Amino acid sequence: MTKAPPPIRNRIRELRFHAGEMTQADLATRIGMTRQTIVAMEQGKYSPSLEAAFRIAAVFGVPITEVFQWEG
Amino acid sequence: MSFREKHLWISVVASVAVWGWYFWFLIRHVAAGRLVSDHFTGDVSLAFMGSLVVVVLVEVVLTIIATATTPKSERDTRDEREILASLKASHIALMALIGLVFCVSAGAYFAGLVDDTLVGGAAVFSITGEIMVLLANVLLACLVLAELVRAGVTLMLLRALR
Repeated sequence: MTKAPPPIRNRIRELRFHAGEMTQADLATRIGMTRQTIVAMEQGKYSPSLEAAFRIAAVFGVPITEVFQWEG
Repeated sequence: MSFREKHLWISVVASVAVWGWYFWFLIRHVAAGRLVSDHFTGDVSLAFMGSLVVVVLVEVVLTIIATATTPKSERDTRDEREILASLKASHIALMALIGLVFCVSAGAYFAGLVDDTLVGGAAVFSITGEIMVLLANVLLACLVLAELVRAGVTLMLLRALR
């Protein structure tokens, strides 16, 4: 059932660290998601929708390509 | 564990415990030859109503406990990952339900065919009120199984996507 992780890498963990060590719960609250989904994204097990990706980039104040990179 | 996962576990536990007991009660009744008893329909109906009340009560009580032990911000959030898992699981559960109902229909059809053409309506499964009650319970079992598949697959997907 477990599939290979999608070829999308993200820097959420690193960006959280640089944003005053923002917690996963804080980020989740700010984008209207659960903490478990942030965990899944950071582990590369879940790729968010385009809307969620834009929300995450907006929280860190960076372009979306600074957060997500296609590795395919 | 998110609130959604807790709620799914509550649903699984309540369903397995209560409906498990109900169908065990039904099977024991049928195996003991009480299908032709005058009290069969009454006993089964009473057990069904009791099970329905108990399953609702158990779910309500456990949901209150889950609500009290989950932060409000997490309770109100149902995000895209959970919706995706739920949709995939619902699709699988629907396929399972279709398969189960098809099997029940085929079983009923062939039972009717055998009864009508081979034994001239003398078989034990000739249409009676009790058989209709039994058939209704088989369909109820299909619904309970499909719901368990939905909850189980959703939980599995939420674990896999973590």
